[in-house]
Amino acid sequence: MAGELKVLTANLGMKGTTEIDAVMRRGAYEALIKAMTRMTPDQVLGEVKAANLKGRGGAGFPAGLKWSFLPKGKDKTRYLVCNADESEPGTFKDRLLIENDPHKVLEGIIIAGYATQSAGCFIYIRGEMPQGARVLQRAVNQAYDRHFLGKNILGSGLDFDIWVARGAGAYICGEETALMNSLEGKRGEPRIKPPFPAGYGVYGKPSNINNVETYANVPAIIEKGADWYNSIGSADTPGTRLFGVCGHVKNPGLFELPSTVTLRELIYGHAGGILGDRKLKAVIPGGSSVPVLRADQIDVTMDSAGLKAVGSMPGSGGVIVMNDSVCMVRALHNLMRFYAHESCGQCTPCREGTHWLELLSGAIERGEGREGDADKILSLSKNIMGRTICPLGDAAAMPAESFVRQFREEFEFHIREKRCLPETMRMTTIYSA
Amino acid sequence: MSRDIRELLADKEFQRKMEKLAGLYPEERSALLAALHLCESETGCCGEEFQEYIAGKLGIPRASVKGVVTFYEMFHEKPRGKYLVQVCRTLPCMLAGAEILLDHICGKLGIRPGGTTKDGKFTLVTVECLACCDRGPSLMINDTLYTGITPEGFDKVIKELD
Ligand SMILES: Cc1cc2nc3c(=O)[nH]c(=O)nc-3n(C[C@H](O)[C@H](O)[C@H](O)COP(=O)(O)O)c2cc1C
Ligand code: SF4
Repeated sequence: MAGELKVLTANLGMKGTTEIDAVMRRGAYEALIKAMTRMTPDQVLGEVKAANLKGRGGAGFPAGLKWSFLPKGKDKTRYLVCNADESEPGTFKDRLLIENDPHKVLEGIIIAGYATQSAGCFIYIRGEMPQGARVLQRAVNQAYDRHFLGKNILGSGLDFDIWVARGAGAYICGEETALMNSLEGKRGEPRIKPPFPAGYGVYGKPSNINNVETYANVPAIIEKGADWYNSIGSADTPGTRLFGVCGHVKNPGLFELPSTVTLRELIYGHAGGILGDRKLKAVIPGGSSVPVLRADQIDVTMDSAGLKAVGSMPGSGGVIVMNDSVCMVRALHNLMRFYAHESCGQCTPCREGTHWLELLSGAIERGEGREGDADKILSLSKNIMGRTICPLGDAAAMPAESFVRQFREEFEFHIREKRCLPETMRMTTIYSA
Repeated sequence: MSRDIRELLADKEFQRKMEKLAGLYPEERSALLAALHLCESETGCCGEEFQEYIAGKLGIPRASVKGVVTFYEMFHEKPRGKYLVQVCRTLPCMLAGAEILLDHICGKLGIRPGGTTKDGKFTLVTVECLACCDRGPSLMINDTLYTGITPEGFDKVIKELD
């Protein structure tokens, strides 16, 4: 089993790492100094492109390529946005980075600001993380004091600010254009694309948005180079990734590993195996929005190619493990309630579809399911997919479709027998294990 | 926490804070959510009076402000209890035992989710994933996060609240 490789999490677990002096003694901001004093913006951009850094917010889009979409020129105001809205069920990596090593994130953002010659960055942190917002704001103030933010940073000619903004309890604000509306003091409703943020973002200005972990990868890429970065991980997802393992494992937590780690190693090695010493039943490998896997599908690497081979995707790196005490109908109902609650309601297929998925899965779970209901879930999912403004619709449809496809017999048992499988009558919890 | 809104709006310190917020972002309207958070933490809600005030202050139509207050889970038009107990109900916390915890809390406080205790001390709500899935079950009481909490642990926590 491959061991942990601490690049992003090198400072986690150390004392005082929210303070700029403490982290600077450990090398923080050296990559920024290197970028701004020894490299041109285009060289920085080139290095990040060559590193093939993939977005860590869920979709895996190459970050360097996204940065290069921003229109160039001194006459244009460009903004960066850091997506710290972390609300995808099963995902808890950005919170840990922000609360424990905020300067790593800031350093990555400022380097990105230099590469793209942007005016500043909005960090949008979810409302339920007031502690993280305080830590961030304090770190930002310290960075201003050191002149890593403000006017003419390190004599590079770049003026760059960071603004911390809090959300207020809406999963949909993690979607990039909803987030931008929210930043403008509006309801968090996704915008129709195109235009894309690179042309029309915050206040209608060209904007680039990345996830917290994506930015946090940048300092090491600049410090050690794209070749080093590509020597770690897999071809489609180089570098390390933060995998958060939760649910029915003995040792839940965050693990920083190359994506060449297998799902089996992650669950049985790093996370200590199955809670209650029961059998593994199902695992959602990349946050609640990706297709669920069965216990016999875990001998795959945690990169795009590996998970694609079994019909899923790496998503946000949140691994939700379920042992054989979990009723899959009940688990699906829980997730569908989530998506129905979080749909912003703009598109009919999503607003109505998620609502019906919640009702249907709930009815089957209560023993009120009717013959054909499993197929109804499949056809509802199919009719949501690709027919909405933003990907929240798909994010609900993918688990719905995959739960029924992968655990069809259990759904049919519920409908026929009007009850749960015997072994799922008492679910393992931390209280019982 | 439960200050009167009129008193708050007349408070010089509060006015200074609002001034500062309005100048914090490249455009004033971006301060709306921060202003609502402030009012929410001082008065326990963002009612019509504050909506009107902040609409004028930031140059946003009143209807838009209302639209924002009603869109976001963390803002309330009507006052809620002194302590807002927010229990995560999403899958990872459910796997950790959130349903057992929630049942216990309902029994302990004598209310259902959405309800407020008669003395106005507690409002109970369920919320979605709080992003600490490895340490569930999780809940927040106002701004404070509690993880890996047991029914007994909850009783202890609320006993220490005044
Ligand atoms: C409903 C929904 C919720 C999302 N939530 C988040 C989130 O909490 N954090 C995040 O970084 N990206 C989230 N995303 C993805 C963003 O829209 C966007 O793709 C991402 O921030 C881009 O950053 P990256 O390229 O660095 O991954 C969400 C997308 C959707 C459709
Ligand atoms: S897909 Fe759903 S969440 Fe996204 S814009 Fe449409 S209704 Fe809103």
